[in-house]
Amino acid sequence: MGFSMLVDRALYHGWEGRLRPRIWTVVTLTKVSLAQLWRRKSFWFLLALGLLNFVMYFSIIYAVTQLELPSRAQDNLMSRFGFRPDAESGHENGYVSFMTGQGQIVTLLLAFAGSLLVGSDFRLGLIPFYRSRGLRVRHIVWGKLIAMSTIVAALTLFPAILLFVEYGLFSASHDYWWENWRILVSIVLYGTILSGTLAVGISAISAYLQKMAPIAITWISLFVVPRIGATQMSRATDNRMWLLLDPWRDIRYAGRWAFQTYSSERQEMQAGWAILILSVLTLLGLWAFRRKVRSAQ
Amino acid sequence: MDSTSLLETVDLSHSFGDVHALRQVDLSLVPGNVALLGNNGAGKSTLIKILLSLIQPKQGQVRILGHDIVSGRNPVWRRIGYMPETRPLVPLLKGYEYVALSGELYGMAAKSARRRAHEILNYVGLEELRYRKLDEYSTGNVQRLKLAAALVHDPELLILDEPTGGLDPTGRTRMLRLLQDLLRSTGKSLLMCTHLFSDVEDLCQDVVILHQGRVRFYGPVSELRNRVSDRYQLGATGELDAFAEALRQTGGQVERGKTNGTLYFTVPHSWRNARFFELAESSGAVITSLKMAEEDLQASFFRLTDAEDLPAEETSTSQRAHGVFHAG
Amino acid sequence: MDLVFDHVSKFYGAVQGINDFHCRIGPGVTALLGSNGAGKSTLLKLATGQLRPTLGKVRIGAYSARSAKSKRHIGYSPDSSRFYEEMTGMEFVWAMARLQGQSRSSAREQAAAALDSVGMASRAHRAIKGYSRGMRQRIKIAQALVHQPEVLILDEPFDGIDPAGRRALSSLLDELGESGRTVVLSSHLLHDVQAIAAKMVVIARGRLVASGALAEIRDLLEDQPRTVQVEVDSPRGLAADLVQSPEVQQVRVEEGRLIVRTSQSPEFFARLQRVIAESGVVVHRLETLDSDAESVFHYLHQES
Repeated sequence: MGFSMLVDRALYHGWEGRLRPRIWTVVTLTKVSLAQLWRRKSFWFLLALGLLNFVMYFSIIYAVTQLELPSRAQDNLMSRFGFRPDAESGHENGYVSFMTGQGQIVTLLLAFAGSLLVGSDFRLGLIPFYRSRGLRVRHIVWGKLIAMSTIVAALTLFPAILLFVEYGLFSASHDYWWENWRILVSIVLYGTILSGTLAVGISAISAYLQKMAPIAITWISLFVVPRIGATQMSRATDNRMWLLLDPWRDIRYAGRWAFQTYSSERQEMQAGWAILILSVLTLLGLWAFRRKVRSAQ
Repeated sequence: MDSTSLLETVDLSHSFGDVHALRQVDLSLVPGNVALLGNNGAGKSTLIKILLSLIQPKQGQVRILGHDIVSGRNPVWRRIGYMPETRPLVPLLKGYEYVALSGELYGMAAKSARRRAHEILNYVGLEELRYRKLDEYSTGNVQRLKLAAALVHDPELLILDEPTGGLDPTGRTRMLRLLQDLLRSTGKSLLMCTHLFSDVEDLCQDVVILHQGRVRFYGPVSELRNRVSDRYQLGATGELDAFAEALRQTGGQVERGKTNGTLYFTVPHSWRNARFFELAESSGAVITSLKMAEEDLQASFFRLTDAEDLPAEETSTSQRAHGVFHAG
Repeated sequence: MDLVFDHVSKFYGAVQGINDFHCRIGPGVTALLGSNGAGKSTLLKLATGQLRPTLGKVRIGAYSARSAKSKRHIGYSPDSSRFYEEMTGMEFVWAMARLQGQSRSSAREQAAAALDSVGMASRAHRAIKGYSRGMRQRIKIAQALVHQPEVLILDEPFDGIDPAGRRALSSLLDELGESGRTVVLSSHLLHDVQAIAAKMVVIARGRLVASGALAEIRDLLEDQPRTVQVEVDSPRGLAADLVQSPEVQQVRVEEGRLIVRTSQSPEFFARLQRVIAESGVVVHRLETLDSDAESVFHYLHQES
């Protein structure tokens, strides 16, 4: 290396350039959060696990649309996975059941991501670090929530859209997309609901608990304990409204709401309640998360 | 834009519930290297948080580089670089990625942030480690990394919190030299929060001493080294007792110091310094050091902060310095 | 009670952590100085018996540092902070006292006394979780003192403590040293350490590089001539008188002062004194610029 280059390195150089508006920091934060997840092997393993379901659905659609199957086998496959208009409601449930069916793996992945992306930031004092770079509370909140939502979307929304595209590609006519654009809207709607509620939930929990084990236990219990309570209560009082206490059931009903696939009026009412409950919980979680970010020292 | 003013505060006060963190803080600092000294609870971190716009003060005005930062948005936060005392390291990131992240958060575009990160890491001497993960960085490296992250967007004002924290003597010297070089060659200003008097003396021309939320002093460090003109500190070898006796005979007061060979002498009227050496010569002692027993920064600090909760009028030194400052 | 390192070596596989360290540390305050990675922590862990030496022996008084008996006589304040966060300061120090074998009531008294001596008496009833760094530091020292050990081993005790706290801690350590305890202090804050430590032990790359009083160590650094600064009104005159002397290596004249390099300082000071006494020249200030702990530390590291 030339001497002048060496000397040059030892000198301080200034920097002139434009600085972008603060809103861009949300993108930066999302990027860095996802990058941290990206770099862990365990994440890749869980992601692969999560996409197994997707691969299966993908194959089903392929089989159903492309292969010459005996008609009874075809019918069976299609109704098993919902890719056949329901006898009663006349709608397809395949996408809903896929997205909802991702539930377990999504919950697991979020428990992991929560401690890594939110919990550790609090533990390591990164929130004050971000704030010292001029980020406001809202930038941090949005950055983290978008990162979390992306994770959920990666396992639910994006694959579902791909399935939708695939179905159209492989089906007899490309009119599938034009005829069923409402399904796409529903997919996006449901995907947003899923991502939003789950992201807020795990972020709030991770912000307060901060360590992986407590986060994982609390988060997973959230889907187990209320369910048990709800089932018991509804059996004891013979009132099915108690079942709405179960978050995952609410999410399932929200799917029905998004796809408008009700098989009875009662289901429609329950779905409405489910949406209400989820909205309230999400807003609560958002408030709690925001509060924690603001108070981080 | 007033480039002759670094920091001005007028009647700045802030409290957390019942606790008064800052009380009627009036400061007027010109660009340069300023140390912020104070015991715990003095209000240093509150002041820093206000300067970084993390807290809105309950009362008072604050102007950084001539701009008001409390009413409305803070227009100068990007001209400030902050190096925290803690270790806020993003796990799994490599050195240059962390510095680039800091740049991006300050508002740089990703590509220029990355390029700049490499450049600044060269400057602080971490070029060999920039591809290593942060978990592998030692304390000395972390300090330099944090400095790089604070410099990435080329700020005019650096706010450093204990920059030599945890560093061994070699690391401390290296950090101080780096900062000296940086400040001298670029004309940037420094506001350094520290507990160490030697850091203040090595780096800063001016100092702000806070105590229990009030300013006890702000002004040149040199002003805190009052000369006590008739008392001397001597180091000597040889016949110390004879020498001490000879000194006593002149009419002045002799005190023995704590370490071997140290004497304090309060001189009588019309004293000539050469007499020290004459007397030593005749007593069989050899003088190895001689200086006026100046009060040093540490002693001044304790003098200013030991009195319990002085009323506001007592900050007369600050007012005096205030006057001195405006002249400069 | 003395802390004795008897030709101690510690190997980590092929890597030599400590190499033939032979030193006796007696009552009073002794500073252990060294760069990060030089082996200070290893040495301190050997002293507390947490590590076993590969070669040689470490003794606390008559006991081996590894024995249970020696633990009663050592108080250790480590570098890292690990506490039971939900405990209050008082509970923690009390628990440490109990672990030392004290009865419940005696432990309480001792804990209160220890907390008082580190200035935490009024704040010890809060949970450690909310403590600042300085407060945690004090708790660490309190638990090291609580059983009144003869040997105190402190790793970076001043770290993160404010000036008032350092002053209080310094005077506490000074008192303990004066009362006959063996206080071993490892710190990077050479300025603070210089004021209270009578003796210094310097370690570099696992080896003992110097031990003794600061002035003695400085004297041993023969290769490093002293830089003496003399503030006079007319430096040239004095320079002329000195420059021909054999003790003087180099004389530099600046405004209002003279800077002399000499490798034979006793002879130089004697000559300087004679010259001043004879000529009556006014000397405002005379000092050696590189004999403080920091300069000595740097010289020692240059050499090794």
